[in-house]
Amino acid sequence: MANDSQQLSRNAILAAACLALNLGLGKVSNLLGLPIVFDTVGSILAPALVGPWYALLVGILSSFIGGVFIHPAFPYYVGTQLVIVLLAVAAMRLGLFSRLMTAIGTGVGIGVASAIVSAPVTALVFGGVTIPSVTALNVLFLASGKSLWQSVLTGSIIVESIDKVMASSLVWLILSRLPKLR
Amino acid sequence: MSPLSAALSTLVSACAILGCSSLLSRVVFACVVLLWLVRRQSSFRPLFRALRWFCVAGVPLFLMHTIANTGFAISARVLGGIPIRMEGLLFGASVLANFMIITFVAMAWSTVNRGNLFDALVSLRLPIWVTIAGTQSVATLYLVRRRADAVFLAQRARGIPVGPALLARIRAVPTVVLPVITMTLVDASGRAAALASRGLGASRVAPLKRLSCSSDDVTNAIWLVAAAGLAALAIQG
Repeated sequence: MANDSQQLSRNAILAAACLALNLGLGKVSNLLGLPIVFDTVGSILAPALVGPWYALLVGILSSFIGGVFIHPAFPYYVGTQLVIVLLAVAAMRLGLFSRLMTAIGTGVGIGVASAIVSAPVTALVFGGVTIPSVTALNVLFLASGKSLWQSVLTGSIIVESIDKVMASSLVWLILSRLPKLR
Repeated sequence: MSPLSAALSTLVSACAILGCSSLLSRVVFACVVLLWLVRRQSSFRPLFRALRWFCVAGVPLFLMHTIANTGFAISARVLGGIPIRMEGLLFGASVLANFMIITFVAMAWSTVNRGNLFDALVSLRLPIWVTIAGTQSVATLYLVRRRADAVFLAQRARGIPVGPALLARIRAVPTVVLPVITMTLVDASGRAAALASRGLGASRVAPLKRLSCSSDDVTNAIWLVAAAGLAALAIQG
């Protein structure tokens, strides 16, 4: 019983840390002036640290708490967070984060999937306006004659793939350096 | 603001976004809700935050749909050929009105006291681990941000290049991000052990006060219903 409560409190606090990483690492991209957001590092890392159910909790709570502290649009992308967590859980089960190349491949897969899931929200709810880097690409594609949907999907796939590849590579690095927490 | 009022504002705003078919009704609803927030906080801070978000979302929406979106017909040309698309302008304004309503909901939630929110979540009988993960994450978020600042400055002091070229900034990512992540996880692991040793999860948590409807909540509800009513009148008008 005591071990159970210890395990539960460990999982809850580690889940809170993953959640804080999702919301707080944007600060690093601000400091470095990069056009990516790092808002899913915690979601990809969580399945390895706390298991799938707490990882889903990290994804859901990231969206709602991020809506209050980071950007009001965050809650609308809860589906994207859930898809990222589910893909990360599958990738962890398959051992894809044990090597850098497979982790990069997983990042590309997660990036494309998250772009496909978030594109309808971006197009229908926010008229194509999302994080500045994707918005800039969307404007370019729209001006070149593409439809709103094509522009949003293309822009999202480009930026999300780069973002998720970097996030997955970071998760691979962290997992290889934190043997005690695995 | 109490969690009950914030939840009510979320519900009424969702109904407004789904139910208000005209741009005017959404603008009316957004203006009344903004007035309520300004009156509620007795300061113009919500107005300034609203203006900030208005610019953050409004400028790209204007550029995207009024000038760049070839899906809308050109209505006029200004300043030697810049196209202006009126349909695009109206579409952008409609999206912006929705975005502002969403922003006001987030602003309402940001005024909720963390202790009251904890009590409300416990009263709702959510699993305590969900409540702890949520509330702990907010505290850890500030820590992560401060740590990111400190690590960034430390790496610069060590002479690790962090710009100005894009490649140097990308190369600097692991040197800044990795220490932040590892320190956060090691810290969390230690904190979990400390909290467990102090009895976290050993017994049921009781809220300090039960979730109840106060006179303040009634006043807030009147304002929100008034906003919805005026928006409905604007639809008919």
